[in-house]
Amino acid sequence: MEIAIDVRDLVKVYRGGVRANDGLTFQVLRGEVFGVLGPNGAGKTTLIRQLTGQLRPTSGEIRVLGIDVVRRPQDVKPLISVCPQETAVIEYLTVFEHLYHFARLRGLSRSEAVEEVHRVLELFGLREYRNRLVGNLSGGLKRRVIVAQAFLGHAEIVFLDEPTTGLDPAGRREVWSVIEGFRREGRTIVLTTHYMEEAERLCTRVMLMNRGRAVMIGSPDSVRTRLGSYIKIRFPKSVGMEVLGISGGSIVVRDSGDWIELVVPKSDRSLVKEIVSRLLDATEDIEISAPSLEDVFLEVVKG
Amino acid sequence: MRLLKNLVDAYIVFKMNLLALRTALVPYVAISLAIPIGFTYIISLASTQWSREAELNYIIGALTLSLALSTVNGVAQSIAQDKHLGRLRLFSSLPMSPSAYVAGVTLTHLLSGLVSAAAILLVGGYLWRILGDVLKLFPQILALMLASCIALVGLGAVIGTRSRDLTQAYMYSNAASIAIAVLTPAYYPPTLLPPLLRLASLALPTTHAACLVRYLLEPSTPTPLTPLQHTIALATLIAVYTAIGFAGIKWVED
Repeated sequence: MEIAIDVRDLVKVYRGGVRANDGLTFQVLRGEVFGVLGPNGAGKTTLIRQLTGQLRPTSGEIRVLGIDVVRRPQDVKPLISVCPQETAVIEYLTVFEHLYHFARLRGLSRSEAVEEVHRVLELFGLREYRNRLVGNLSGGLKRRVIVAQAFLGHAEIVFLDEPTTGLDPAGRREVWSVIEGFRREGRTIVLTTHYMEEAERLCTRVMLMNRGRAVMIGSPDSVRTRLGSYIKIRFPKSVGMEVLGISGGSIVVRDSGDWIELVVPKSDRSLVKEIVSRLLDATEDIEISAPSLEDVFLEVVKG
Repeated sequence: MRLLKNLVDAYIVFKMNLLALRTALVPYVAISLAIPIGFTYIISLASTQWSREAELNYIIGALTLSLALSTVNGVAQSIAQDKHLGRLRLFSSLPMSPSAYVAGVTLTHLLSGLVSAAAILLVGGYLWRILGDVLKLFPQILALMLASCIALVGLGAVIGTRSRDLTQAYMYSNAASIAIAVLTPAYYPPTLLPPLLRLASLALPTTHAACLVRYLLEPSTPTPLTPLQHTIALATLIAVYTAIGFAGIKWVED
């Protein structure tokens, strides 16, 4: 498959010495939904801003659709669109005016811009708000306007920096279905997210980042199987840890709201059996599953 | 083709800024029209005993500096707001050049400044009974004022895009405005400046614009250079300031 984005040895050191990206090398293929995951401060936004020609790298090479972004950012920009992390809107424009003017700045003609705006208003459930001033909308609706503007026109690659942060579940699902539609059209999307469910549902491949480095790259399934030698056991917190009569060792214990999660090595069959048997004596409410992407994420962050 | 796209983009940014002014129409009209007219009227009441030279000083000062200072301040502060509210990142992600964005922002402030300048020119000219002269010279005076503004736009854009926060942008643009207002021999004849400051003032486009406006309205007033030399200096400074502006605008961050 054709390479859409090619990043080699990318380093970004901010003034003051903060090393936000530290030797990143990866490729994104055309038609992929590529997820960038990582905790706060992992360097995800810095990476997106460099990929989109808005931030100069300290060293390394970035090619987007074969164009050197560092040397020719203006040549890349007509081929991409960006949804920044900040919900930076022009508050005194109506939703329609906001989208229309950004469509025009993307190079669309007046009639194309009007057509595109109507399309994204429909896609993002914004039609009923089209004549409202953006400044008078709720935070979630403002976010939808910013995400919607990234889908105006026919960009070959769409960069979405935490697109669904601040959206309610319905809004999040609307954005997901738009992204899925784009994926079906074979267009390339790079997205950063904190939501593992989002990454698992949308991404064809993910890159886990921590402290500016790529820790793992692969499909959500393959990344998950890095912890494939573990089993996850989940039970209500009300049961308590005491019933197990064990602690520490090779078990990872995690507090998950009203639940406790144990990540236990599969190889230690007798330990798994003992835990399950003791828990079943205390409750029927237990879940046994393979680790999720979130488990991998938490392991990476912890490490 | 690229020039056409830049012109269209500048117009779109200008239109967005104008539309955004809908909710601030009252202060916009007050700043552009009511305040300059009111101020000129009050000054005219106080100036019944003024000499012709004092009247000229006021009108030249108000004309040359109102447009230039409102533009440099307006451009710096608008761009700084866009930067620190995150909107500049939205613009810089688009396939548009920084000069088109700056031109669009500038047009918004230039429009306000031009309305003010025209109001001062016409009301002041009427009150001081020099309206005939003013109207005759209106195109030349307007061209000079626009020229000095265009030269200073780059300075505003550099302050706006390089500021670390809004306070810093306001402080720098206010400091630049005060320096320009003090050093430009607009409210006073150029001969009043001490030699060193006179030399420094020659580096400002507003100095040459003010001297040329003064020369147009009162050809007998002494100016530091000949009108031709002032014109050449103004043209040179437009080129130098614009080049510095282009080089200094921070569109791609470090």
